[in-house]
Amino acid sequence: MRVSRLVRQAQNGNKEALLQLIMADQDAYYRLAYTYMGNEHDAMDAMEDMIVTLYEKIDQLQKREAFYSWSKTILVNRCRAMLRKNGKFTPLEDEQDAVAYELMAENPYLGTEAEMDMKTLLSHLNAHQREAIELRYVHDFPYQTIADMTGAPLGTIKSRISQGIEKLKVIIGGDRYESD
Amino acid sequence: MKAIEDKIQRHKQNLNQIQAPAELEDRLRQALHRIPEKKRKNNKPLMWSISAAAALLIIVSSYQYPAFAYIGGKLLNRMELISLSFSEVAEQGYGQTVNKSKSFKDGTVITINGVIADDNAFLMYYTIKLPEGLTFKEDEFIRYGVTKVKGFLTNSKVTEGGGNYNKDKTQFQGVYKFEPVNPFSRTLTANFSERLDSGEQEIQPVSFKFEANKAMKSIINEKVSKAVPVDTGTVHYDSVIASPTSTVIRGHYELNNNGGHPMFAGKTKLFVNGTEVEYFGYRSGGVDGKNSPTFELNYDVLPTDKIESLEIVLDKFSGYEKITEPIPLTSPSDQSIKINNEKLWIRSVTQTGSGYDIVIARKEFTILDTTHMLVQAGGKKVPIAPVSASRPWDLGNGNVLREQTYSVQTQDKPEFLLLEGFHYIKEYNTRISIPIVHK
Repeated sequence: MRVSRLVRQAQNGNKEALLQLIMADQDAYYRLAYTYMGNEHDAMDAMEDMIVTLYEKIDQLQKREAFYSWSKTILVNRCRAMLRKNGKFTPLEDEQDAVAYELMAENPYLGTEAEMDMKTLLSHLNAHQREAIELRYVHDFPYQTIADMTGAPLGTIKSRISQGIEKLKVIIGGDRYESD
Repeated sequence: MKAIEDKIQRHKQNLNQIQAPAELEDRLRQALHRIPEKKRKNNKPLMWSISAAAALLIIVSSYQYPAFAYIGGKLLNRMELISLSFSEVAEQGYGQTVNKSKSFKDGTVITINGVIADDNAFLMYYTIKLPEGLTFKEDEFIRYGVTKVKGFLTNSKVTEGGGNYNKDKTQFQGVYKFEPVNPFSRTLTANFSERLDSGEQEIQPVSFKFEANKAMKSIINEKVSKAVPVDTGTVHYDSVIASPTSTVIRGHYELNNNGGHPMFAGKTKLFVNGTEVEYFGYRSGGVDGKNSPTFELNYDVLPTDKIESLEIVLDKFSGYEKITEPIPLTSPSDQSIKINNEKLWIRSVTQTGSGYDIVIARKEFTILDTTHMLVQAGGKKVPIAPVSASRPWDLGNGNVLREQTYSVQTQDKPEFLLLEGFHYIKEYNTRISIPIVHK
């Protein structure tokens, strides 16, 4: 109810309404940008670019309730474009180390052991699988949204995730691990 | 698969501890500020439907919950409300017993034990019981969730939640707090979801009859009209609702910052009969009918329903201090420069290809007003703008400042920095009394 009202205000050119929409979910946007960019500076730049694009394109948004998945799709596209421009061809490939490092360096509360673990594990996947798994399980996006964000067909996303999970299963010893 | 899911969940929890930096809002607002305004569309039929909806809302919201006045005695506080089981709160005369269950395909049973409805919130007490022989692993309860309660004129989002495992970890007992539900709702539905190992979600709707006459009456529910002047405008308090589950003060800002929220929300205290009520947080809201930004302050349940006095104290809030003196740039150093009651550090002034880079440091919550920031160089005034995000400057003695690089395009050596002023967290300690309307 409130979201669609704010979206309507934003569509009428109200910048503050647009800002409100983003700030209401600021941590989720920031984490999403951070996962891709790996540092505060680039994550904030990506979000700045995003909000400018949102303001220019919000007239095209038909379903107001879809604002959040639509805007996050634009953020993901922006992050991918920035990484491509920086010569980092495959998004998460080179970034993963940076993410894990930042997590440890900046926030002493973070469970470094768990993070190391995950970093090692995810490094066995290809960039596409890793991206899909993070979007699905860490950022909680539905399959269809991930497909829209990455521009890959729905079936491809599902198989990237299941193949990624299968691969991780093999690495950590699958069922054997569980019965230990 | 379980092991992987655990790891991913832990990874997610780690990531979830990252919070957006404080300056994000400012950065985004400035980014928006730089692009041209769009022409506003004037959509007549749309305007009609909005005012029709608004009229309906006014009718609905002025409807009072029927009966069930709270009967004297001790009010349960927030901690008690979320840590006791529903049967325990029901013994104290709270809420409506529901006891409706639904099973997931894997045999997990979800039960809504009971609900408490009032003007501020809708609390739902629920239990997740795993199939025979299974126990919860650490943090596994996050596989289950509800995001909304729906019903006639009701679409209430979850605002808080919490709970505990029982001793043998076969059950999880939790409480979800939602936005208030509409008293006209007869049937309410909560969609419980379970994240499956395949990555899909299974959804099970649990519906129950809502008895609006069991909803609980507020101790105080009144409009107020009080304003407190601050450096940049006024803070207005519009309503106080003290219900049996929480106390909420709503208001709006009229500040000279183009209809924005304040730089710092600060701290606002609430006193009842002279005793401070615990503060649980601030939430900034959208704009109200007059396009003023709104806010909401949340406090614990009032300690008593016998109210003699109610006072709001604006303790700390955004302050703005004007600077009239030019700040010399000729001898940069790590020594601070005193400006009014605050300090600034001009750390370096370095020549670059196109001009000069100046590194300025400040305390974390001293925010420079950069709208008309100038540098005096060679007798001329040249604009200066930040070219980096701010970064920490650790003095190594427990003090961490923020420094930022600013760039100015001039071939002359900068002499003075001309700052209009700065924002900071100011102690106001302004006390206002709220008249109590005894019903």
